[in-house]
Amino acid sequence: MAWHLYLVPVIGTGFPIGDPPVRDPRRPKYVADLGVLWAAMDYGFQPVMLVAADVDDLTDTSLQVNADVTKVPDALDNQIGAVAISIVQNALEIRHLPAGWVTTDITYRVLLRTLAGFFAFVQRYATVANTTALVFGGAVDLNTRVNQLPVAVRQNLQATATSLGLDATGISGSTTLRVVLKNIADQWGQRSFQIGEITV
Amino acid sequence: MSTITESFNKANNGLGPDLAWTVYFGTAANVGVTNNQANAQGTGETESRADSDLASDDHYVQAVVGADYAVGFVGVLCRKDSTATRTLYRWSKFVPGSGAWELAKFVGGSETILSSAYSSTLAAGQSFKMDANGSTIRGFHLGTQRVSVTDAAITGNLRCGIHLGDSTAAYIDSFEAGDLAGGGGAPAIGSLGLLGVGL
Repeated sequence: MAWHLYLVPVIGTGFPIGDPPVRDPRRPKYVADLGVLWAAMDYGFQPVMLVAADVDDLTDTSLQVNADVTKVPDALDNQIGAVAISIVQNALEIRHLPAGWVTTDITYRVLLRTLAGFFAFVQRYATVANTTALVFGGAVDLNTRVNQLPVAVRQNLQATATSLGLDATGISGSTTLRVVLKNIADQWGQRSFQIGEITV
Repeated sequence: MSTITESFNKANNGLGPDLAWTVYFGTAANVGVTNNQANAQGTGETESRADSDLASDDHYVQAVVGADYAVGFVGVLCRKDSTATRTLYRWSKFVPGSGAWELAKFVGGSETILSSAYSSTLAAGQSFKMDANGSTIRGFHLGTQRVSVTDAAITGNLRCGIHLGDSTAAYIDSFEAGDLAGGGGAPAIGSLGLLGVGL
Protein backbone atom coordinates (compact mmCIF):
# COMPACT_ATOMS: atom_id res chain seq x y z
CA MET A 1 0.00 0.00 0.00
CA ALA A 2 1.15 3.54 -0.74
CA TRP A 3 -0.36 7.00 -0.80
CA HIS A 4 -0.95 8.54 -4.22
CA LEU A 5 -2.66 11.70 -5.46
CA TYR A 6 -5.43 11.86 -8.05
CA LEU A 7 -7.81 14.42 -9.53
CA VAL A 8 -11.23 12.76 -9.56
CA PRO A 9 -14.87 13.73 -10.01
CA VAL A 10 -17.14 14.28 -7.03
CA ILE A 11 -20.09 11.99 -6.41
CA GLY A 12 -22.92 12.53 -3.95
CA THR A 13 -25.51 15.27 -3.73
CA GLY A 14 -24.34 16.52 -0.34
CA PHE A 15 -27.84 16.13 1.05
CA PRO A 16 -29.80 13.16 2.44
CA ILE A 17 -31.74 11.26 -0.20
CA GLY A 18 -34.63 8.79 -0.12
CA ASP A 19 -37.28 7.96 2.43
CA PRO A 20 -36.18 7.31 5.07
CA PRO A 21 -33.38 9.75 4.26
CA VAL A 22 -29.90 8.35 3.81
CA ARG A 23 -26.87 10.59 3.82
CA ASP A 24 -25.27 11.15 0.45
CA PRO A 25 -22.17 13.23 1.16
CA ARG A 26 -20.02 14.70 -1.57
CA ARG A 27 -17.01 12.41 -1.84
CA PRO A 28 -14.38 11.31 -4.36
CA LYS A 29 -15.67 9.06 -7.15
CA TYR A 30 -14.17 5.56 -7.17
CA VAL A 31 -11.91 6.17 -4.17
CA ALA A 32 -14.66 6.52 -1.56
CA ASP A 33 -16.05 3.12 -2.51
CA LEU A 34 -12.76 1.26 -2.26
CA GLY A 35 -12.77 0.87 1.52
CA VAL A 36 -9.30 2.42 1.74
CA LEU A 37 -8.02 5.38 3.73
CA TRP A 38 -8.24 8.67 1.86
CA ALA A 39 -8.38 12.44 2.24
CA ALA A 40 -9.62 15.08 -0.17
CA MET A 41 -9.59 18.76 -1.01
CA ASP A 42 -12.50 20.10 -3.03
CA TYR A 43 -12.84 22.95 -5.53
CA GLY A 44 -15.81 24.39 -3.69
CA PHE A 45 -18.95 23.00 -5.24
CA GLN A 46 -17.26 22.34 -8.57
CA PRO A 47 -17.42 18.59 -9.24
CA VAL A 48 -13.71 17.88 -8.81
CA MET A 49 -11.50 16.85 -5.91
CA LEU A 50 -7.83 16.36 -5.30
CA VAL A 51 -7.71 13.13 -3.35
CA ALA A 52 -4.92 11.24 -1.61
CA ALA A 53 -5.53 7.52 -1.21
CA ASP A 54 -3.63 4.66 0.38
CA VAL A 55 -3.92 1.94 -2.26
CA ASP A 56 -2.02 -1.09 -3.53
CA ASP A 57 -0.41 -1.19 -6.97
CA LEU A 58 -3.30 -3.03 -8.58
CA THR A 59 -5.84 -0.50 -7.33
CA ASP A 60 -3.58 2.37 -8.34
CA THR A 61 -3.47 0.97 -11.87
CA SER A 62 -7.22 0.37 -12.00
CA LEU A 63 -7.93 3.92 -10.87
CA GLN A 64 -5.80 5.34 -13.66
CA VAL A 65 -7.75 3.36 -16.26
CA ASN A 66 -10.77 5.62 -15.68
CA ALA A 67 -10.93 8.41 -18.24
CA ASP A 68 -12.12 10.90 -15.62
CA VAL A 69 -9.21 10.23 -13.25
CA THR A 70 -5.84 11.96 -13.52
CA LYS A 71 -3.01 10.66 -11.37
CA VAL A 72 -0.44 13.13 -10.07
CA PRO A 73 3.08 11.71 -10.32
CA ASP A 74 4.46 10.63 -6.94
CA ALA A 75 7.71 12.56 -7.39
CA LEU A 76 6.31 15.99 -6.62
CA ASP A 77 9.62 17.79 -7.08
CA ASN A 78 10.02 16.61 -10.65
CA GLN A 79 9.42 19.18 -13.34
CA ILE A 80 6.41 18.61 -15.54
CA GLY A 81 8.57 18.50 -18.65
CA ALA A 82 7.81 18.62 -22.36
CA VAL A 83 6.22 15.20 -22.63
CA ALA A 84 3.54 15.80 -19.98
CA ILE A 85 2.84 19.49 -20.39
CA SER A 86 -0.12 19.21 -22.74
CA ILE A 87 -1.59 16.33 -20.71
CA VAL A 88 -1.37 18.39 -17.53
CA GLN A 89 -2.82 21.50 -19.13
CA ASN A 90 -5.73 19.58 -20.64
CA ALA A 91 -6.43 17.79 -17.34
CA LEU A 92 -6.72 21.16 -15.62
CA GLU A 93 -8.70 23.06 -18.24
CA ILE A 94 -11.43 20.43 -18.59
CA ARG A 95 -11.97 20.83 -14.83
CA HIS A 96 -12.20 24.64 -15.03
CA LEU A 97 -8.74 25.02 -13.52
CA PRO A 98 -6.59 27.64 -15.29
CA ALA A 99 -3.60 26.07 -17.02
CA GLY A 100 -2.14 28.74 -19.27
CA TRP A 101 0.46 29.58 -16.65
CA VAL A 102 1.72 25.97 -16.41
CA THR A 103 5.12 25.55 -18.06
CA THR A 104 7.49 22.63 -18.48
CA ASP A 105 9.91 23.84 -15.83
CA ILE A 106 7.56 24.05 -12.86
CA THR A 107 7.33 21.14 -10.48
CA TYR A 108 4.22 19.18 -9.53
CA ARG A 109 4.58 20.55 -6.01
CA VAL A 110 4.34 24.13 -7.30
CA LEU A 111 1.40 23.08 -9.45
CA LEU A 112 -0.47 21.53 -6.51
CA ARG A 113 0.20 24.44 -4.16
CA THR A 114 -1.18 26.78 -6.81
CA LEU A 115 -4.22 24.56 -7.23
CA ALA A 116 -4.72 24.83 -3.47
CA GLY A 117 -5.02 28.59 -3.94
CA PHE A 118 -7.69 28.11 -6.61
CA PHE A 119 -9.49 25.65 -4.36
CA ALA A 120 -9.36 27.91 -1.29
CA PHE A 121 -10.90 30.80 -3.21
CA VAL A 122 -13.79 28.79 -4.61
CA GLN A 123 -14.36 27.05 -1.25
CA ARG A 124 -14.65 30.38 0.54
CA TYR A 125 -16.86 31.81 -2.22
CA ALA A 126 -19.58 29.30 -1.33
CA THR A 127 -19.86 30.55 2.24
CA VAL A 128 -19.43 34.23 1.41
CA ALA A 129 -22.11 34.03 -1.29
CA ASN A 130 -24.14 31.59 0.83
CA THR A 131 -24.69 29.33 -2.14
CA THR A 132 -24.08 25.77 -3.22
CA ALA A 133 -24.32 26.82 -6.87
CA LEU A 134 -21.43 26.22 -9.23
CA VAL A 135 -19.13 29.09 -10.12
CA PHE A 136 -18.25 27.52 -13.48
CA GLY A 137 -20.83 25.87 -15.68
CA GLY A 138 -23.44 26.85 -18.21
CA ALA A 139 -22.39 30.11 -19.81
CA VAL A 140 -19.63 30.83 -17.28
CA ASP A 141 -16.16 29.46 -17.94
CA LEU A 142 -12.59 30.51 -17.31
CA ASN A 143 -12.73 33.01 -20.15
CA THR A 144 -15.77 34.80 -18.78
CA ARG A 145 -14.96 38.40 -17.88
CA VAL A 146 -15.80 39.81 -14.49
CA ASN A 147 -18.01 42.47 -16.07
CA GLN A 148 -20.07 39.74 -17.73
CA LEU A 149 -21.12 38.39 -14.34
CA PRO A 150 -24.17 39.54 -12.39
CA VAL A 151 -23.37 42.34 -9.97
CA ALA A 152 -24.07 40.15 -6.95
CA VAL A 153 -21.62 37.49 -8.14
CA ARG A 154 -19.00 40.13 -8.83
CA GLN A 155 -19.43 41.59 -5.37
CA ASN A 156 -19.27 38.16 -3.76
CA LEU A 157 -16.05 37.34 -5.61
CA GLN A 158 -14.53 40.55 -4.30
CA ALA A 159 -15.82 39.86 -0.81
CA THR A 160 -14.32 36.36 -1.01
CA ALA A 161 -10.87 37.74 -1.70
CA THR A 162 -11.23 40.20 1.16
CA SER A 163 -12.46 37.42 3.46
CA LEU A 164 -9.27 35.47 2.71
CA GLY A 165 -7.20 38.53 3.55
CA LEU A 166 -6.25 39.04 -0.09
CA ASP A 167 -6.33 42.05 -2.42
CA ALA A 168 -9.59 42.18 -4.39
CA THR A 169 -8.71 45.02 -6.76
CA GLY A 170 -7.93 42.58 -9.60
CA ILE A 171 -11.50 41.31 -9.61
CA SER A 172 -13.00 43.91 -11.91
CA GLY A 173 -13.74 45.02 -15.44
CA SER A 174 -12.61 42.92 -18.38
CA THR A 175 -10.38 40.64 -16.32
CA THR A 176 -11.18 37.00 -17.07
CA LEU A 177 -11.89 34.50 -14.32
CA ARG A 178 -8.75 32.56 -15.25
CA VAL A 179 -6.69 35.67 -14.57
CA VAL A 180 -8.61 36.34 -11.36
CA LEU A 181 -7.94 32.83 -10.08
CA LYS A 182 -4.23 32.96 -10.89
CA ASN A 183 -3.95 36.36 -9.23
CA ILE A 184 -5.65 35.02 -6.12
CA ALA A 185 -3.48 31.89 -6.09
CA ASP A 186 -0.34 34.01 -6.42
CA GLN A 187 -1.44 36.01 -3.40
CA TRP A 188 -2.33 32.80 -1.54
CA GLY A 189 1.26 31.77 -2.14
CA GLN A 190 3.13 28.49 -2.15
CA ARG A 191 1.70 27.24 1.14
CA SER A 192 2.63 23.71 2.15
CA PHE A 193 -0.33 21.51 3.00
CA GLN A 194 -1.03 17.96 4.10
CA ILE A 195 -3.49 15.67 2.38
CA GLY A 196 -3.71 12.18 3.80
CA GLU A 197 -0.14 11.09 4.50
CA ILE A 198 1.27 13.28 1.74
CA THR A 199 2.81 16.67 2.47
CA VAL A 200 2.66 18.92 -0.56
CA MET B 1 -9.56 33.73 25.31
CA SER B 2 -12.43 31.59 26.53
CA THR B 3 -13.15 28.01 27.48
CA ILE B 4 -16.53 26.39 27.95
CA THR B 5 -17.24 23.05 29.60
CA GLU B 6 -20.23 20.79 30.03
CA SER B 7 -20.47 17.94 32.54
CA PHE B 8 -23.91 16.62 31.50
CA ASN B 9 -24.46 15.95 35.19
CA LYS B 10 -28.22 16.35 35.35
CA ALA B 11 -31.48 14.51 35.03
CA ASN B 12 -32.90 13.91 31.56
CA ASN B 13 -34.95 16.43 29.54
CA GLY B 14 -32.41 17.96 27.23
CA LEU B 15 -28.70 18.69 27.34
CA GLY B 16 -27.03 20.69 30.09
CA PRO B 17 -26.81 21.80 32.87
CA ASP B 18 -23.63 23.88 32.55
CA LEU B 19 -24.33 25.34 29.09
CA ALA B 20 -27.41 26.17 27.05
CA TRP B 21 -27.77 23.84 24.07
CA THR B 22 -29.72 23.84 20.80
CA VAL B 23 -30.42 20.73 18.75
CA TYR B 24 -30.30 22.31 15.29
CA PHE B 25 -30.18 19.10 13.24
CA GLY B 26 -32.30 16.01 13.81
CA THR B 27 -35.10 15.51 16.28
CA ALA B 28 -34.58 17.33 19.56
CA ALA B 29 -36.32 14.55 21.47
CA ASN B 30 -33.65 12.16 20.20
CA VAL B 31 -30.88 13.62 22.31
CA GLY B 32 -30.74 14.08 26.05
CA VAL B 33 -28.92 13.01 29.18
CA THR B 34 -28.79 9.52 30.66
CA ASN B 35 -26.63 8.56 33.64
CA ASN B 36 -24.93 11.96 33.49
CA GLN B 37 -23.88 11.58 29.84
CA ALA B 38 -25.22 13.07 26.62
CA ASN B 39 -27.13 10.26 24.96
CA ALA B 40 -28.80 9.50 21.64
CA GLN B 41 -32.39 8.68 22.51
CA GLY B 42 -33.81 7.67 19.16
CA THR B 43 -32.89 6.72 15.63
CA GLY B 44 -31.26 9.10 13.20
CA GLU B 45 -28.55 11.69 13.58
CA THR B 46 -28.53 14.72 15.82
CA GLU B 47 -26.21 17.69 16.01
CA SER B 48 -26.34 20.02 19.01
CA ARG B 49 -24.45 23.24 19.55
CA ALA B 50 -23.48 24.87 22.81
CA ASP B 51 -25.01 28.35 22.70
CA SER B 52 -21.89 30.12 23.91
CA ASP B 53 -19.65 32.07 21.56
CA LEU B 54 -15.93 31.48 21.82
CA ALA B 55 -13.71 34.51 21.29
CA SER B 56 -12.05 33.22 18.13
CA ASP B 57 -12.86 31.00 15.15
CA ASP B 58 -9.49 29.36 15.77
CA HIS B 59 -10.64 26.94 18.42
CA TYR B 60 -10.75 23.35 19.64
CA VAL B 61 -13.53 21.10 20.88
CA GLN B 62 -13.14 17.83 22.68
CA ALA B 63 -15.17 15.22 24.51
CA VAL B 64 -14.99 11.70 25.90
CA VAL B 65 -16.91 8.62 24.83
CA GLY B 66 -19.47 8.09 27.59
CA ALA B 67 -19.07 5.27 30.10
CA ASP B 68 -22.23 3.53 28.89
CA TYR B 69 -21.23 3.64 25.21
CA ALA B 70 -21.80 0.46 23.23
CA VAL B 71 -22.42 1.50 19.62
CA GLY B 72 -23.49 4.46 17.46
CA PHE B 73 -22.15 7.70 16.09
CA VAL B 74 -20.24 10.13 18.29
CA GLY B 75 -18.45 13.28 17.27
CA VAL B 76 -17.64 16.90 17.88
CA LEU B 77 -18.17 19.91 15.65
CA CYS B 78 -16.73 23.39 15.39
CA ARG B 79 -17.08 26.69 13.50
CA LYS B 80 -20.84 26.55 13.87
CA ASP B 81 -22.79 29.78 14.10
CA SER B 82 -25.92 30.65 16.10
CA THR B 83 -28.37 29.87 13.31
CA ALA B 84 -30.07 26.70 12.13
CA THR B 85 -27.96 26.71 8.95
CA ARG B 86 -25.79 23.63 8.84
CA THR B 87 -22.39 25.19 8.12
CA LEU B 88 -19.58 23.69 10.23
CA TYR B 89 -16.72 21.21 10.44
CA ARG B 90 -17.30 17.85 12.13
CA TRP B 91 -15.04 15.03 13.36
CA SER B 92 -17.03 11.86 13.93
CA LYS B 93 -16.66 8.16 14.34
CA PHE B 94 -19.35 7.55 11.78
CA VAL B 95 -18.70 3.98 10.73
CA PRO B 96 -19.60 1.43 13.41
CA GLY B 97 -17.13 -1.15 14.64
CA SER B 98 -13.56 -0.72 13.51
CA GLY B 99 -14.37 1.63 10.62
CA ALA B 100 -13.11 5.05 9.69
CA TRP B 101 -13.48 8.38 11.41
CA GLU B 102 -14.70 11.11 9.11
CA LEU B 103 -13.73 14.74 9.03
CA ALA B 104 -16.48 16.51 7.13
CA LYS B 105 -17.56 20.03 6.28
CA PHE B 106 -21.12 21.22 5.87
CA VAL B 107 -21.82 24.35 3.84
CA GLY B 108 -25.45 25.40 3.70
CA GLY B 109 -26.38 21.86 4.69
CA SER B 110 -24.32 20.22 1.95
CA GLU B 111 -21.96 17.60 3.37
CA THR B 112 -18.49 16.97 1.95
CA ILE B 113 -16.19 14.35 3.45
CA LEU B 114 -12.68 15.77 3.62
CA SER B 115 -10.97 12.84 5.30
CA SER B 116 -11.61 9.18 5.83
CA ALA B 117 -7.97 8.56 6.54
CA TYR B 118 -8.05 7.13 10.06
CA SER B 119 -9.71 3.97 11.27
CA SER B 120 -10.06 2.65 14.80
CA THR B 121 -12.32 0.91 17.24
CA LEU B 122 -14.16 3.02 19.78
CA ALA B 123 -14.67 2.38 23.47
CA ALA B 124 -16.01 4.11 26.55
CA GLY B 125 -13.64 6.60 28.12
CA GLN B 126 -11.69 7.41 24.98
CA SER B 127 -11.05 11.07 24.22
CA PHE B 128 -11.52 12.70 20.85
CA LYS B 129 -10.93 16.23 19.71
CA MET B 130 -10.80 18.51 16.69
CA ASP B 131 -9.39 21.95 16.12
CA ALA B 132 -9.60 24.58 13.43
CA ASN B 133 -6.69 26.95 12.98
CA GLY B 134 -6.91 29.13 9.91
CA SER B 135 -7.46 26.74 7.02
CA THR B 136 -6.01 23.73 8.87
CA ILE B 137 -8.59 21.40 10.36
CA ARG B 138 -7.37 18.48 12.46
CA GLY B 139 -8.91 15.44 14.10
CA PHE B 140 -7.54 13.72 17.21
CA HIS B 141 -8.24 10.45 18.98
CA LEU B 142 -6.70 9.38 22.28
CA GLY B 143 -4.66 12.56 22.40
CA THR B 144 -2.91 11.96 19.07
CA GLN B 145 -3.48 13.86 15.84
CA ARG B 146 -4.96 11.42 13.34
CA VAL B 147 -5.87 13.58 10.35
CA SER B 148 -5.16 17.07 9.07
CA VAL B 149 -6.91 18.66 6.14
CA THR B 150 -6.75 22.05 4.46
CA ASP B 151 -10.02 23.80 3.80
CA ALA B 152 -10.79 27.50 3.56
CA ALA B 153 -14.57 27.39 3.28
CA ILE B 154 -15.75 28.27 6.77
CA THR B 155 -14.59 31.17 8.85
CA GLY B 156 -15.94 33.45 11.54
CA ASN B 157 -18.26 30.99 13.28
CA LEU B 158 -17.69 30.79 17.03
CA ARG B 159 -19.68 27.86 18.36
CA CYS B 160 -18.97 24.18 18.94
CA GLY B 161 -21.07 21.14 19.70
CA ILE B 162 -21.62 17.41 19.58
CA HIS B 163 -22.84 14.77 17.12
CA LEU B 164 -24.79 11.75 18.36
CA GLY B 165 -26.91 9.19 16.62
CA ASP B 166 -27.80 5.88 15.12
CA SER B 167 -28.22 4.05 18.43
CA THR B 168 -29.54 4.69 21.90
CA ALA B 169 -26.25 3.19 23.06
CA ALA B 170 -24.26 6.24 21.84
CA TYR B 171 -22.97 8.40 24.70
CA ILE B 172 -20.71 11.46 25.04
CA ASP B 173 -19.34 13.01 28.22
CA SER B 174 -17.01 15.78 29.41
CA PHE B 175 -17.48 18.32 26.60
CA GLU B 176 -15.01 21.19 26.38
CA ALA B 177 -14.27 23.87 23.80
CA GLY B 178 -11.94 26.83 23.79
CA ASP B 179 -9.86 29.27 21.81
CA LEU B 180 -6.49 28.28 20.39
CA ALA B 181 -4.92 31.70 20.93
CA GLY B 182 -1.90 31.63 23.21
CA GLY B 183 -0.27 28.43 22.13
CA GLY B 184 -3.08 26.14 21.09
CA GLY B 185 -5.85 24.36 22.82
CA ALA B 186 -5.66 22.29 25.92
CA PRO B 187 -4.45 18.76 25.31
CA ALA B 188 -7.15 16.15 24.97
CA ILE B 189 -8.01 14.28 28.11
CA GLY B 190 -6.54 11.09 26.69
CA SER B 191 -3.16 12.75 26.37
CA LEU B 192 -3.37 14.02 29.93
CA GLY B 193 -3.89 10.44 30.94
CA LEU B 194 -0.79 9.41 29.05
CA LEU B 195 1.14 12.07 30.91
CA GLY B 196 -0.10 10.70 34.19
CA VAL B 197 -2.23 13.71 34.95
CA GLY B 198 -5.20 12.78 37.08
CA LEU B 199 -8.67 13.96 36.20
